[in-house]
Parts: sequence; C-alpha cells; structure tokens
Amino acid sequence: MKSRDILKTLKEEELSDSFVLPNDLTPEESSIADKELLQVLEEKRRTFDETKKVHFKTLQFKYLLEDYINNKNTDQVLPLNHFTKMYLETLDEAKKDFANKINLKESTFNRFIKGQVFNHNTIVDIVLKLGNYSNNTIPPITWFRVWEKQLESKIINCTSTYTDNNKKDKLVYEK
Amino acid sequence: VHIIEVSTGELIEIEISEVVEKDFEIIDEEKYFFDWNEYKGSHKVYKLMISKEPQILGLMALREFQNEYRVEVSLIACSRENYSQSKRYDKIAGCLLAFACREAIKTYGYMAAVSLKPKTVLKEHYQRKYGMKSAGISLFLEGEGMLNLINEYSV
Repeated sequence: MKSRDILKTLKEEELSDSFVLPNDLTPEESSIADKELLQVLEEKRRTFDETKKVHFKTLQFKYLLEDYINNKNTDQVLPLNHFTKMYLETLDEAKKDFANKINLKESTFNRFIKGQVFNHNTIVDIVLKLGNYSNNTIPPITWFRVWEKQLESKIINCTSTYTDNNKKDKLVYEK
Repeated sequence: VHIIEVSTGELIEIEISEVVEKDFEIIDEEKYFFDWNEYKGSHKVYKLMISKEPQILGLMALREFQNEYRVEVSLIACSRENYSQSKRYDKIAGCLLAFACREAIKTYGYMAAVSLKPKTVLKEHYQRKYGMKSAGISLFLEGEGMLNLINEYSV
C-alpha cells in the first residue's frame, strides 16, 4: 500500500498522535484564519505582566546559551563576560544595579564585564550568583558550560614551550 | 530530550536539528509520507533522530510569520515504522511540537506563539493531547501553554 493511502486507513487518534497534516484551505481561507488568530494573540499579549515578560526573556536567553554550548563549531567561541553583557541587555539592566542585585562589588563586576577577572573562585562566585538571580531558570551549570567552552578553546589554541630557566613547561597563550 | 521505546518503556535520548541538503536525498515520500522537497526554501524543516544513530524518525516543517511573532507548524510526520499502534517509538510528534515552541520562544521571547491549521476532525485531539487553544480555524499555543509542552517533553 502506498504511504499516502495508509493515512486514509488510520483512526483520528492515530493520525493526531503521529502527524500534523497539510490543510486543504484555499489561500483566502488561510488568510482569514491568520487574521482571526492574530486578533486573539494580540489580545493575549496585552495581558502579559512584567514578571511573565522577564521570565520569557530569561528563557529566550537560556535557549540561546544552550544552543551556543551544544554547537560543536569552535570557530565561534565567545567569552563568559560577552554573554553576561548580552544578558544584561536582554533584561534591560544597568551594570551598577545588577551588581547590587546579585550582591557583588561594582568594581569586581565591572572588571568581569571587561574580561579582566581571571580568578577562578571569583568566576565561580559570579556564575552561582547569575544562576540564583534567574531563580535557576538559567542554572549556574549552564553559565559554567559557557566558561568551560571558553577555557577549552584557550587550551586548544595554546602551545607548550620549554624554558631552560626554570626547567618547567610554560604555557604560552596565543592572543 | 527523550522518546519512549514502546516495547521496553525505555527512554531514548534524541536530537532535533535542521535538515540539510544531503538529508533530502534519503527523505522519500514512501518512508515519510509526503514530498518534503515541496517545503524546501519556504519552510525550515527539522529532523528528529536518536543520538548518534543515522535514521530519521520524524520530520517537521515550520513556517515563520515574523511580523506576528509566530511559527506555524505546517507538517509533522513520523517515519513509516513509527505511526499507529505498531510503532516502535512513542512521543515523536510531541517532541517535535515542543521543539517548535522552544524555537518560537528563542526567536520571539514573550511574544512567541506556535500555531497550526488542523483538519477539522483532528482539532479536538490536538487540543486534548497538547493543550492547544482554538482561534477560529487555527489552533495555537502561547505563554504558559508553550511552557507546559516544553516541560512535558523536556525539550
């Protein structure tokens, strides 16, 4: 039996369970359906409160981070501070206010945003605070994975050289 | 993200990604019920596969309505081994629909919506199964409805 003919033999429950089928609407009917839908959606969107908007903006950012982390293309590695800056822009938060809200010294946060914080404990602290700020919608481990990807890229790009002076391997980072 | 192997009840990890040109060579009408080439260009076509395995278990065509912050699901089909009561894996279509919700939120944030124009006889089934709401001919998900589906299918 041809595959299209099989569909005709299925019960409604079986069809809806495994398929969304093309509709038989004319372009005019389809356009009317779109207008009806748009009206309903606009009405719904008007009722969205600020808390809900922030939650969805946070989710939007989380999905972006997850896709970035799962993308195996290492040509496009971006640092943790870059994504933190983007996060602030998404939430429309000023750096100073945000530093206060996550209980971090403004000067430390400024240095972090500029990519000038290298102390691992400080970064772990910031990652935990970022996760906490979103009520774990973006868990610390997601922020950590961004940092991990940054470090991984750094290690891949570095070359090992041997220095006679201290008889130790010294890592030289390519800038 | 997981689907369920019907015979064992085991959760099987899957991946959903956009179909690339090479995939269209193996996506035939006999196995996937429709001519998916028709959707090339006008739609984004996604495939659902078990992680690290080559077979495509389900396909979905999405159409963007950027001005309306909406994604329309034009077509979903499971492969020939995965429809009806004799299917090998369950939850393929649900995972694809939940993925469409995730993509919509990723693109449009709080304005996002996912819709479809169902065959009339299937409307109630989609409403019951996926919690979709009715707006005339169309069914849609927005806000909490999308989050519920994303959480249910752990997308």
